[in-house]
Amino acid sequence: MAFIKTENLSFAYDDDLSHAALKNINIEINEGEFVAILGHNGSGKSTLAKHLNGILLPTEGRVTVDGMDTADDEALIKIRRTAGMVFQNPDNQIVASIVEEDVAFAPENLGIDPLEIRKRVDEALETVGMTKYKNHSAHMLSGGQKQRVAIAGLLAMKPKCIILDEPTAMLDPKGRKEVMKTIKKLNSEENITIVLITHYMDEAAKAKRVIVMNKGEVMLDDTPHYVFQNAGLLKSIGLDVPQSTELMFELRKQDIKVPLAVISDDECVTVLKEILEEDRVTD
Amino acid sequence: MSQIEVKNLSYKYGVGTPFEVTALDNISFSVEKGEFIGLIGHTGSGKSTLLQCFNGLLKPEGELYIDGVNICEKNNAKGICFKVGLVFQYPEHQLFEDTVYKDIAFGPKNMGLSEGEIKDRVCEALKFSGLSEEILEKSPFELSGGQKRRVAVAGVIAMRPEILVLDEPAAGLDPIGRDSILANLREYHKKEGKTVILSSHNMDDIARNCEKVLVMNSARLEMFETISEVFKRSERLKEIGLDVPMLTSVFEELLKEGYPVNSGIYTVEQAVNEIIAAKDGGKNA
Amino acid sequence: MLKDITIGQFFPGDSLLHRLDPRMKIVLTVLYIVLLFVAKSIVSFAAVTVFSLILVFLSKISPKLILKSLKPLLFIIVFTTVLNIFYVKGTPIFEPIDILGWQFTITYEGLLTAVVMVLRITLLITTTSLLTYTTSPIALTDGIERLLSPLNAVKVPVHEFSMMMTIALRFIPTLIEETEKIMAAQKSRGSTFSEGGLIKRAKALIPILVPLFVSAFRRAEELATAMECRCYAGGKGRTRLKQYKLCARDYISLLTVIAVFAATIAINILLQGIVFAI
Repeated sequence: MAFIKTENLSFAYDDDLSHAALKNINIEINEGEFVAILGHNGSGKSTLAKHLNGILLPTEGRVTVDGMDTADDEALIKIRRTAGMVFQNPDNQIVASIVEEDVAFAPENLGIDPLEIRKRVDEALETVGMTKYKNHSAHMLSGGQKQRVAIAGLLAMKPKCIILDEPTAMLDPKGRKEVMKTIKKLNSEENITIVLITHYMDEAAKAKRVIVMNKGEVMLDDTPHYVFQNAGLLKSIGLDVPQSTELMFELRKQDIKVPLAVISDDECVTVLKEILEEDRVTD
Repeated sequence: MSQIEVKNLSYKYGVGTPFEVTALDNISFSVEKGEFIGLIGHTGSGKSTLLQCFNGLLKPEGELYIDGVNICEKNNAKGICFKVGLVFQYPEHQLFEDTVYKDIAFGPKNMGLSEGEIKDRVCEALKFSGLSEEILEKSPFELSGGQKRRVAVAGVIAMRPEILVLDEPAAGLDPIGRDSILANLREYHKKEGKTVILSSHNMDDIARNCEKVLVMNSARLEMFETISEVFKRSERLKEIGLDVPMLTSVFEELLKEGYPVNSGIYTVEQAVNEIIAAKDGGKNA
Repeated sequence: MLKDITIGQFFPGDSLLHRLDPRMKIVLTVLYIVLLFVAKSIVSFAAVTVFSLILVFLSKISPKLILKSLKPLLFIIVFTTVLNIFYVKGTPIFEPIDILGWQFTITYEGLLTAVVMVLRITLLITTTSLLTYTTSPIALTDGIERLLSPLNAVKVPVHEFSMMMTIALRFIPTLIEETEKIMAAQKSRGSTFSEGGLIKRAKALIPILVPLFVSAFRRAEELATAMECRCYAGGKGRTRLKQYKLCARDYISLLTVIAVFAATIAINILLQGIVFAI
């Protein structure tokens, strides 16, 4: 059974579905997946994300997380400890002044035994590489470090899934890299299901599956390689494609045979080397 | 004389406290009227400090001439904020009036202009920001994020600065928002011929808009050269914690492995030409 | 600059004072403040001063920082000194000085009172600063929450108050930074804050206060959502990472302070009328 499942999910902020923010969304996310949800502002991607742990409830349809219905009040706390959420603004999600005390916030709320909290806090900080900063003032950290603390704060709940709503939008390149590295690690080493909401195509390219949203609907849902082949379509809905993909697109126009789906630096180097080698061989 | 002349400019925060930090360390360069300059550097490299020196918010040591006037000297900094318009990061956070019109008019009003003049300037600034006149009577707080940002930029353009300085104007916007605000800027630069200085973390934005780039690193000026010269030194850029466009890295790698391509490639168009040239070159060889 | 304020700041460390139970530290600080007002003779003040210096030494906080915390109160200290030196009547130390027709007399008693008052204020600030310097704001609110927890029985929302304190402490530096940014941005649009009369100055604050409030509300809303996502549901059933258990050092500290307290009272009584009691 799917870990997160939306069934005919529709949503309007004022309950009037004639101008719905989400229209009939049916997606299934399995345990251990790394899914990116890509879309421009107003495409409904953040609204969708807020349905995945019960911050918003469907106007129509149903969302289940690990078999629990998000509309079920009784299950809410359990849903939230199963699927944690990281937000865009690093400042506005840190509750306590000191790093480790902030990380302890969720398990404290859950009434977990203090010794166990200690253990979880230490482990969580270790996982995101912030152990060194555990007694630091959260306010003095860089944006990337704050987001890692926010992630650690969720890890301390031992969630099965982490949803990240544009976690890097307000960060500098260094911070973005730190956060992306942490996210990948959580997925590959801790087997945590990741749902990454973003408008950066290079971040989406790191996922194993990309869902493209436009006007409240799912437009594409496939592997990054397949999704970025649709360069024209993505551009038409206001999204970027990786430079490499665009280069392949242009080279094809010049009758140079290249694969369409090239999304990383390394792949691009390999492909270009092949083209250049080809000529040497034919000579 | 150049429009902006910076000579041995230094700035320290927290002088005399244990937290003293050098934010600018003996910087010198000059900018001609009408240039579109990019400013890059990692967080904490001194970028924002430099921007705030331009319009007199900070008082640095050294000399900073704007149109021949050294604004580091006492009494010369007065009114400089109208001549050098500074758009802060996330400028929409400074909107405060109850209508868009009043907010854009705030700067011109502080300049002591007449109502008629203010009105002209508000309309002109609005046009540059690509917004329609209908929103003038709306509250800035009911606009979308991208619109708010443009209103805030218009508020600075309305002061008709000789030099427009922007600190990460596209930060946090999605590709549509980013492209449209940068397109507006290009348009403004082309039509008005005013000097624009643009700070950004996004190398593609810099590559697409600027003629020359100031590269800051740990309070020092690392480079001040044309775009392609700067991207030719991509190794160094990476060393000082900066990104380079994807294709720049790719071609650097090809060059390293002995393929006949140039370095300093940063657009798709350049890359296509490079590949075709290299292929042809290969055939001729 | 707003950033220069050190009162209420916390300097992480691992000294004996840092490790004391916050509840005990609060109780001891209160006791100590009372002590400062109980002490009457110069001998007991000398003792209390030495005791305070030992505390500063034990805290491993640079004395410079302690002095810095006194800076905002410098005016009050100087004012009290001058007032006492010249206005307390008693035995003059030397002949009255004549300055521009004003007669200035410095009395023995005046000098003494001045010294005592300055000491009192200085020690009061020093020790309360030591409390905040060595106790994280969270531990401090925690300590207060736990000390006040008996009030829960009479329906005082102690947890809610302490949560509000925690969040306030967390966001004060963020909002200070934001205020500075907004001020700089409005200055860039030609705002002036230090010109004109009172009304003009008050009006000049609007461009700062409106954005600040808007941002504070936005932050509050986002924070509330983030807290819900982390399963916050009020104080009921909450546990805490930091468990406070009074241990040997807490009891020893308590005994020490009680001993100093007792000694002070003893000195007060023993030296009554012998050494300059006030």
